[in-house]
Amino acid sequence: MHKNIEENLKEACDKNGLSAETFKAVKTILSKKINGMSVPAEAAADIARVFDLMKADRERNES
Amino acid sequence: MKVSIDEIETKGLRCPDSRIIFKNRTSGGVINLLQMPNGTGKTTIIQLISASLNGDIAKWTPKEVKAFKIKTGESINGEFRITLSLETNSIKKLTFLTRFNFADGVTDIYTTRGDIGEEQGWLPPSELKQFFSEGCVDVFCFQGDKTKDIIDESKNDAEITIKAFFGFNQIDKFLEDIKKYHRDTIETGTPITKENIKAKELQAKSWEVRAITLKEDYDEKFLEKKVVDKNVETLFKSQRRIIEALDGSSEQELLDSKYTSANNEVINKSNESWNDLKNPLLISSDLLTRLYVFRDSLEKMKLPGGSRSFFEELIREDDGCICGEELTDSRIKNIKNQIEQYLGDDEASVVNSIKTEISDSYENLKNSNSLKDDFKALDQALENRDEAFKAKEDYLKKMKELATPENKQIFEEYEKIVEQRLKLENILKQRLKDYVVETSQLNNPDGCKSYIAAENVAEKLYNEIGTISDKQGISESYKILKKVINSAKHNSLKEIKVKLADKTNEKIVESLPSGSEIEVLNIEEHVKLGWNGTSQSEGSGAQNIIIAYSFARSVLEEANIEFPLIVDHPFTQIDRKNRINLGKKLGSLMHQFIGFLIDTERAGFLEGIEDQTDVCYISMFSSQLEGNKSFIDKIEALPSSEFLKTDNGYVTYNKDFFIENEMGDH
Repeated sequence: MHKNIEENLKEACDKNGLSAETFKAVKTILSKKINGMSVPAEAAADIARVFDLMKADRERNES
Repeated sequence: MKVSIDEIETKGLRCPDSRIIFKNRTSGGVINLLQMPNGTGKTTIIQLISASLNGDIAKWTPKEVKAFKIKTGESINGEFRITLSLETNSIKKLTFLTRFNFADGVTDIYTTRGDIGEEQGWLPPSELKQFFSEGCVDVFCFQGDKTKDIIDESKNDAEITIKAFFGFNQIDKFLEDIKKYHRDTIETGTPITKENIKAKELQAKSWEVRAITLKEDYDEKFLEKKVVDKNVETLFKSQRRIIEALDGSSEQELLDSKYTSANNEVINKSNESWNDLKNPLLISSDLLTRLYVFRDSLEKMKLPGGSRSFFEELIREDDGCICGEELTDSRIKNIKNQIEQYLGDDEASVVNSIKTEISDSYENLKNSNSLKDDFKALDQALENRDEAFKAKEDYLKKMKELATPENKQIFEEYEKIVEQRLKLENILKQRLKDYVVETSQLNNPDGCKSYIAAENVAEKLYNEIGTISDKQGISESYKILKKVINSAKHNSLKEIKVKLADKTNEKIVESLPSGSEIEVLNIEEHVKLGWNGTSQSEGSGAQNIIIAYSFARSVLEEANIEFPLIVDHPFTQIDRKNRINLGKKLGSLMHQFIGFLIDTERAGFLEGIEDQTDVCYISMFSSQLEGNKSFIDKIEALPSSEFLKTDNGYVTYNKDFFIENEMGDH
């Protein structure tokens, strides 16, 4: 992943209240996708994990 | 990562059977020059290289496959093999072998990756897959007029390249994945309100299906237009040749250039009008006057802010009143009530800025006729363009009348294909129109002709379903994640474009003679050229080529990958002096340069590369053509180890043979 994409992804995650862990999970999926290493069968599970992390972020931010 | 071409092998195709070994080395640059007479398969070989690298060869239609059949002979099979050297962490050699079955019009592709044996299918190593795509291969494999495509403002080749090289296409696919996940999950939700969620789901589904249908149609028409564009280009060239034979070239070129500049003027004037239309103060003088009245009201507000700050500080310090009395709670309350009527420092400064802005705008615009002048100039530009268009049409009509019946056919075919292109352009525009579908039309997806608009409706409806089901959280996360990804995508694309513009400029300075007044102003969908802030649509032939090579090198460098530079007719549009200059620089541009050239490109260029240490001179020609008789006699006089003879052609790496024999038109 090009470093400008990574930096902007980090900035956008921070701005939208997403945690470092969520950023890492999104970055991993995107890197795999860009490098042609992603496995279609695992896509839904990967995204579900990101959504779970985002839910935890939201709850943490609200409390 | 580094990719080089080791060799290619052709058999039974529209070019001589051959095995060509390209020179390569681990450090420094190598120039491979391949000369072939015109019409004997140069373009065929480049098309085969390009299509093998981007995988298109596996998707060719029967008609496209059959077009590669050898012109003479009954053979129903053909073969193309390309072997690459890779400097990657895993695989070191990669071979794509394509077997052609001309009877059925199909191709079978086989891939050999390193020590893994031959596998069926087009299977580039995963770490290189993103670069083995159309948008990427096009940047280092220049076919036809490709050098001009990246600077052509009507094309988006530069952006396509950047998106392909840096993974933006994959980011779009990820956005599609999360959209699918969101919709699939929403459909499993149960309603938490009394709203009819099922009906809404059906409605969302129908818009989703409509969007998919329209997108498929868009993709189909887009490919159709690419074929039509090629035909337009071919017929345009044929028509131009006919006109040149009838009337010389100057008149048509003059009319074309007049039309182009009239059209550019329309674009400029439209942009100026559009910019002014975005300024409401230019549209309504009433608004301007009322704003000025508003400014007067602001003037009467209780300023300055200093008095409020003074009292706020007094209360904060709690050190008694200025009159010497104690500041009791009731006094503080009273002061606080009073100072509410005054503006604070920040507010006062904002109000003052607003007043200044209004005053300035009023003074600048009260007597402005800008919008009226814009429209007048636009009207004039449109009129001039109509006239230029008519002059061009009249001239073509006149030439058509003078042409032979056979050539008249070319004029007619050209008219028809241009009309077909226009129709396709309109359909594509319609499919891409971004607008909000009216509520009254929500039950009529078939009435929508834009896949973007249909997708917008589907997205909105799925989001609504999300908010009324127990999957609210998923919808909320989806919205945020989409926003995050889009923001990262948008900002990084912008930043990478700026970096590439700077890098390209550095390389232009290295390659062009000093004092050349041309640079990349910025990169939009195309590479915008100019000098000192003033834009220009293109440079000279040599400048355009240097800019295209510099852009290609910058993209590869920024993406941290090296590919060979493969160019068809690398020096056609360049004068002798610039060929010498380019020849001298060529070895330092890329680690492997492969140029397919003809006789008219040699003058100057061969002098330029004389001092280069690593040049591979390759000559190839068919043995089946009468026009090649003299080459055959000379090559047969060489020692047999100096050339390769196949059933229908010859290949030699002999430098003297290359220098002494010019290959061009028969």
